[in-house]
Amino acid sequence: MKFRAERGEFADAASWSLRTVGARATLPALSGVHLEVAEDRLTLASTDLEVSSELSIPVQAERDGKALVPGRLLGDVVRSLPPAAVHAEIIDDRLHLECGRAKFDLRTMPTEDYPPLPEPDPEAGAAVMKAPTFSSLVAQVARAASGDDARPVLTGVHLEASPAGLIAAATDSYRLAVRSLSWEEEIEGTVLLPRRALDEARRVADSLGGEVRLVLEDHQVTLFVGDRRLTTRLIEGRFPDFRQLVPTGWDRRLNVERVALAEVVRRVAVVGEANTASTPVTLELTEDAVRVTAGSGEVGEADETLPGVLEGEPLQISFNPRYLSDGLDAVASDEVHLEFRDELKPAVVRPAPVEGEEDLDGDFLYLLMPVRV
Amino acid sequence: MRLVIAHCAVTYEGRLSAHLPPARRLLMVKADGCVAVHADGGAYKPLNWMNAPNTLEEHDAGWTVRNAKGEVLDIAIDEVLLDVSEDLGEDPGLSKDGVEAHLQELLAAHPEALAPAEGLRLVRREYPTDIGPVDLLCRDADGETVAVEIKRRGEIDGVEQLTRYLERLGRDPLLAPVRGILAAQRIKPQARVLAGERGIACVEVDYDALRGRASDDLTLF
Repeated sequence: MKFRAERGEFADAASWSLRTVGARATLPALSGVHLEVAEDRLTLASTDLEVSSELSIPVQAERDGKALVPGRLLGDVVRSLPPAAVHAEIIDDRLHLECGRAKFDLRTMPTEDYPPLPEPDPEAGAAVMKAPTFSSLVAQVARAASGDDARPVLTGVHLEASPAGLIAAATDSYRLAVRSLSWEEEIEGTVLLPRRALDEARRVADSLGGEVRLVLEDHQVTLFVGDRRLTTRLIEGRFPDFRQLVPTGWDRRLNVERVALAEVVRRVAVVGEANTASTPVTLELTEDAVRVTAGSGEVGEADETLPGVLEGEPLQISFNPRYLSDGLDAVASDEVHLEFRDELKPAVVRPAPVEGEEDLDGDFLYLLMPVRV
Repeated sequence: MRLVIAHCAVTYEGRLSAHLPPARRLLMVKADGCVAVHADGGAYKPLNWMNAPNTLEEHDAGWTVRNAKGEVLDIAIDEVLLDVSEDLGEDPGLSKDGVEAHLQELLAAHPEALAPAEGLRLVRREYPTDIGPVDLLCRDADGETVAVEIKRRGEIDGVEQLTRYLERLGRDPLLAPVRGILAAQRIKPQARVLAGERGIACVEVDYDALRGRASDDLTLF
């Protein structure tokens, strides 16, 4: 294998490959990035057996071939190279890199130890979305997934794809985020995939723009963004029947400025440890105002009131401040509707529709459980 | 995973030279290529080993394992008594449970569980002193300060630690007087005696019951 590549492109590609290199690999080969040169393209691949990634960049190839290079080392080396063309060549079991006056000789690992990477079936159902649409969907929904590995099903994002559209949902049992969008695509399937894979794809979609292609199969999901591909294994198990959790109708509805409420919640929550349900923020809703309070006698208290319009009877209800801010942050609209039954039943956060304006949030809803005080 | 029990002699050439005279030993070849030679004793270290990546060559006289650093492990085998291979599958890794941290979190949420009659309320977790943070600082129904040290196992060390905190906290006129509670899943008798002598209360807490209590949070399903 022998090629010449641009340093910037090579460095970007190597650092992206590193994101799916096995961290606690029981198989040493997984700590490597697999390089392959063919037809004037360098393909970089890596996997941690859950998520695998592949991308290719144009190079001037003198000799095709493959190599398995320790990932972290390759990333560090390529990042530190001066801005000049990179000449790379495999000599015996070493990768020889030259850039300007810098020379590196990196020991490679046997390529035959590298597991074959999963590839999507070209016949499988696929759908295409604009990158910003995909990004906003992931950003809105993935935050509600649980970080607790004790219940793996809740750490994933549930996707339901049909020819008419996509529904994405995630829940950690305290809150639930659901977003749907419509499309006309040849695709059908329901999957539960690790949040991490979606977050990685979103990161790429944000930086590259363009389109995201989603391929669903029974045992894996693949996301293409530009010339990059991420394939992820699915999480096994049954995702909760989230539709039956969403209340039909409400007894009280608050219309409030989204950013203002989010700021107040964050400010007031400072007096408690913002991360625990033991120090909730309390919302006192009256006809034309929302009073937000938090704190305890020992640490201190905080109190702030902002305008808001309530339909229905006054209500006092408490939430974990982080979960409430997450819900408010997930919406893009200027105003939100908060719908309530009573102080012990789940509340719903929705974007308040604005007539004549483009709907940035699609059909998004965020359900959150109050805290008993 | 391949396990071989063989009568063998082992020679290692590398950073140093070492020789194991002929005897019966267990040879392990792991899926990642690591090779280890074990005697019938000790749980921790093999007698000789070679990490992956390496190459294992089997020949008539035994095995030769080489790595890229030029180290060579030569295993001369006279007799093979057992040779089995088994695929162990993917290893889920070692998990340690953070019981102590979780206990602290649970008791912070439910300090009343420490002493139901005293009406404890949490002032803060990890209350700082100049010799380190106290796990929980609480006040009882009468407003008296209570420092709580949380351990998985209550031993003399824990009592000593709490004693030092109590001494430090007692110097703060806003907190004094301060009494202490040592909370643990199990408390050793020696620790109880020492704690009793120093006026420190000992409370054994039921982790599982507390967890049950924690799940008292309202959830969607």
